[in-house]
Amino acid sequence: MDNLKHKGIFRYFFNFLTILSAAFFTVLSIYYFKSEFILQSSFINFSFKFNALSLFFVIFISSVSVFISIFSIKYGDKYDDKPSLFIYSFLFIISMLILVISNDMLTFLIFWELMSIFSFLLVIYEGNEESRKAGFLYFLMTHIGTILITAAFIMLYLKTSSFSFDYYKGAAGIIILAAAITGFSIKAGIMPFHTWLPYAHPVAPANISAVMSGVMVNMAIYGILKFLFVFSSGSDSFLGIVLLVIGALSALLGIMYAMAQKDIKKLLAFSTIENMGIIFMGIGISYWARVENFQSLEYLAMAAVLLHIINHGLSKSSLFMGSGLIDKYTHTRNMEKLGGLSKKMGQLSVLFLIGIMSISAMPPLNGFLSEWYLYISLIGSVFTGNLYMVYFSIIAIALLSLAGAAAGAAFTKLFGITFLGKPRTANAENTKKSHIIERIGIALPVVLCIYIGVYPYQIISSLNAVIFYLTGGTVNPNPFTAVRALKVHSFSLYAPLIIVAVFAVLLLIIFFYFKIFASDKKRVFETWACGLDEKNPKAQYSGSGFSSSIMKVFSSFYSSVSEIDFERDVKKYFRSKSVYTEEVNDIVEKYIYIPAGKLYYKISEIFNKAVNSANINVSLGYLFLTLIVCFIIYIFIIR
Amino acid sequence: MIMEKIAELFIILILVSVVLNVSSPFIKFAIKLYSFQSLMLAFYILMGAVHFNSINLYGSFAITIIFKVILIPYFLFKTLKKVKMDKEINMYIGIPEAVVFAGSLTLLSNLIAQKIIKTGITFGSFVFTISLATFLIGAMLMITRKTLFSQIIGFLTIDNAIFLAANSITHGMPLLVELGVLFDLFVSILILSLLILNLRRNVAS
Amino acid sequence: MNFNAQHLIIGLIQFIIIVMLAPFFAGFIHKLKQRARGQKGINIFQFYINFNKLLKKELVLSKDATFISNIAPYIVFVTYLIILLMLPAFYRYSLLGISSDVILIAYSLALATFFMTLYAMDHGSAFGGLGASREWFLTVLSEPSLIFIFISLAIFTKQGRITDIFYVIQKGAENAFLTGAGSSTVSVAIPFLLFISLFIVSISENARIPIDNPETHLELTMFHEANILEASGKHLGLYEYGSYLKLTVFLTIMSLILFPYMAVNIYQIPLAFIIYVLKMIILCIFIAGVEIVNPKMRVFRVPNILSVSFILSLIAMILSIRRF
Repeated sequence: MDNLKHKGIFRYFFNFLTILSAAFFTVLSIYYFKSEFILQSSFINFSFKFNALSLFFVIFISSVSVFISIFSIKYGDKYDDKPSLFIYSFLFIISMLILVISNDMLTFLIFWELMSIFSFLLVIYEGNEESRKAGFLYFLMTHIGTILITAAFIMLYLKTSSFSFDYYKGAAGIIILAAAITGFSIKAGIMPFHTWLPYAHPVAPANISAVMSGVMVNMAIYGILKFLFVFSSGSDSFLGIVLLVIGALSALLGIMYAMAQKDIKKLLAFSTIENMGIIFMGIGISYWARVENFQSLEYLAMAAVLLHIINHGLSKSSLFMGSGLIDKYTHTRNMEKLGGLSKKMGQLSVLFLIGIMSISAMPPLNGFLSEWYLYISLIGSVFTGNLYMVYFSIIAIALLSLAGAAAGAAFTKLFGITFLGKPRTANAENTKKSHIIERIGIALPVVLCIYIGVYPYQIISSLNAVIFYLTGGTVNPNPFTAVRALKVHSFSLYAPLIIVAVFAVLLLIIFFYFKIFASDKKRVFETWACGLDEKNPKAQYSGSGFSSSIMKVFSSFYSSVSEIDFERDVKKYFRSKSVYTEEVNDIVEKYIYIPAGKLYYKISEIFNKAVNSANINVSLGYLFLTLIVCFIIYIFIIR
Repeated sequence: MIMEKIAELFIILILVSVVLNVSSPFIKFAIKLYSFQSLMLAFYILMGAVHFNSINLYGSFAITIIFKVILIPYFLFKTLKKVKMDKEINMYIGIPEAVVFAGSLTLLSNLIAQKIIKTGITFGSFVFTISLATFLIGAMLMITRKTLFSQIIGFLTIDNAIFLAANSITHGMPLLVELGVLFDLFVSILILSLLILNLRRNVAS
Repeated sequence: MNFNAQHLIIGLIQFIIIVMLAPFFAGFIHKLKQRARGQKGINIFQFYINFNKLLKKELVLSKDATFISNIAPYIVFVTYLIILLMLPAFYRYSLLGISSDVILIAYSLALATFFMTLYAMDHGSAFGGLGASREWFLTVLSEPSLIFIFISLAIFTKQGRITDIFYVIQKGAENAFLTGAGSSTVSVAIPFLLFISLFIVSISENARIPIDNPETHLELTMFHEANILEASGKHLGLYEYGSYLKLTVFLTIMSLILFPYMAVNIYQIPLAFIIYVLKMIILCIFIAGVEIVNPKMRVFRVPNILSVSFILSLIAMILSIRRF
């Protein structure tokens, strides 16, 4: 008994510590805004600076991690046996908080690496085969990214011979930018480099997935913003177009793969790829407009980027927390085994529904707001009349609209299959109500989602400081005139408050009309099942059935393998059972990564044969050769 | 001004008919569409003739109607009746993909047209884009489809596209040249029809 | 944008008139179809009677139904009402014209679809899932064309709000007609392309025959109907009325592309209203004609026709960017 009491102490301590330190960092960065300080130690100096961008990220990280900590105060009780989770997650969040205020490259890289390592430790926390595999892939990919980022920083150092970010302004040329962006997009999970994300995010505990998907991927966005808008020398507009196209492609492919998933958390992980793609599109437009001097377009796209970072962070973390609760109380993440959860988990399903509406950009919630800003920026970049940008933005509009509709389908599937209908298994039927603290942790971001969606004026005017820091201009905080700054006078308006008010009024009118004219009689009865007396909940539509028709049309995006297995010797109509298996593979993984892995394996085998011979003389010879080569490099190249 | 705007409608209809052609596997429909497309081409030429008051263009209009709208589809229908073919089954890419591909070809041709031709030279503001797109989509039809009929339709579409481009820029070729070209086309269609029939008789039995 | 009291009042009256007319248009199409098939046909005002009858009926909910079933019909209905509030039908200033952004309209339609499909899946019936799956199948294919059509209009006129878009087209046409001078917003070809494209989209979105046949209750042919199969009483009434409203939304946008004439002051309203009703009736006849002539299409041939609509709107967009 005593032991049990003792158990939760790590959980409480570290969650409260996270909340406190998040508050501390927020206060610190507001109080010391625009100042810098250096932490000197014997061998290395850590220097920090608080500017608008880091303030934005500090507030963003700390608010989301506060919500998640509140959530995991109760949710974490199933991990009490191994309390290392709470220590790691505390350190993980702290390293992100320090990362965004660091002001020199060594500090940045150290905390970037710490962030990667702690998240890696959290990915392999469960310790099973799946998580170890995902952890390895994550470790590998994230370090390739780190190598590229380090290379970019070293090139910057060679150019400016300084470690401090203050000297990097306008120093980064195209090669540095390309290296940095590639490195950061591995972390963000942008399309050709996304393979680790759908493995690593789902296997971690749900509160960690929420941090990783809602917050950590945005650190990559922070890096890219820093490089493109602060360090860049600002001369290569085609980079913006590249980002736009890559972003649009990953938005579309990400959501298309999300639709094919059965695992709730995997679906959400793929949706993260989609949202990162959307953010990349915004960054691409903004950077392009910066180089080509279309100021108002630049500000507008930047507003879309920052808003989408917030919106995605809030809704994605709430959805991941919700999926954690589903996992905790039903012991499965497979949609096909769930169903009807809305009965027992009523409040959770309302919160989940709002999160889903926000992430699939349904008006009047916040997801629509940022997507609307992005659409207007895309239309604005068509108006610029630049020969190439016009065509690429048309293609981007096409891909984005397809992705938007597909997001609706994917999340309808997620909500409909998990929460509605009849429970498909006993697990789903015997679920319990979640704890109130867990629900509060989910409710806070959801309430913020509604607030930003309905009354965005406040948040946009606060974001203007960040937009000013990055681009030197501001957007009009009032969405009534948001786009008036574009070339076209008074292009368009979106007034969520009015829409919601009219919506409420109309609902009231209908309500009273029905009160007077409609009958109040109500009867609860069984669902009609064609007159059959069948109560089998498996007769409902399944998740894979839901998405199969869409997947058939877009079959060129998938490489899916499906087969039906049944008893061969029984006649067709009398089979007692048949098994249908379906496997959806990622085309990028199948056609790029696996062949590349095989190639690597082959080459290393050849090397292995050549190098690893048993003869000691040959080995000594290699050593000697290496030494000679090093000398030659030293003499002729470095000097 | 009004003439030019209405002429634009006709050229758009040419492109619409080509896109519909890509979207449908039915050969009979394709021949009808070809006839319709030629009719629209003829109307476009008529608009030009009225606008520029050029006798060459009036002549061109008349020959287009006779050859492309009536005679060639008539022969094609006759051949089709004999070979009893219904629809195209063998395609290298699926229909929706082909349609989207056709759309991207239009995008590409607009890019090319914007680079090559200044606006205001042609009669109707985006003739060159449309004719280039029609040309490319016709070529795509010939490449992606396997039966000879669809390839003939693709070939004829390409011919229409060239005809359109020529008429939009030159304000009418000399009548003799046009007559020669059309006669060539007509003869080639006859030969191809004969070929189809003979192939049927000899190979498919 | 000035908050003129006159605009608000006339906008409200316009809205009420369109909402009242919506079942009439649907009934008119139905009647035409039945007469063309040689049946006697329903009363043209039958759908009003149906709605009233459904309100009087008892509401039967499934045992598996959750809160979704209680809110979805209202949200779907009110979303369509909101979209109608944004549209200018015969008066230039609609009530919500200030926020009638085209992308907002497209996404609001998706919101309605979202709640309708959730409602379908709420009852644990196999039909509901089927209907939801197929509805999203159509939406994924037609939503991009719809957004493309709207953005083409926006690029063509350099305006973002649907009220302004059609006003600019109307002004351009008036100028061209009166003075013979062309301007960049005068074109026959681009609205024509958009019209064809929107026509295909509206056939698919409104469950019309080549794509869907809501009159049958055969699971092979059901799209829209499978979604609301479990609805009864006032919920069914709301869904049915909602589908008329959706039809009216699409028909109104089409009528505005076909012939944009909106009253700008109070004296033009009678003429504008008569023209509006005439346009709508012509479009109804057109849709009924398409429905009579065509057979129901196989589900997986639907992408063929919807991709054509997508590409036509793409071409319209390409041609409208040539202007600057």
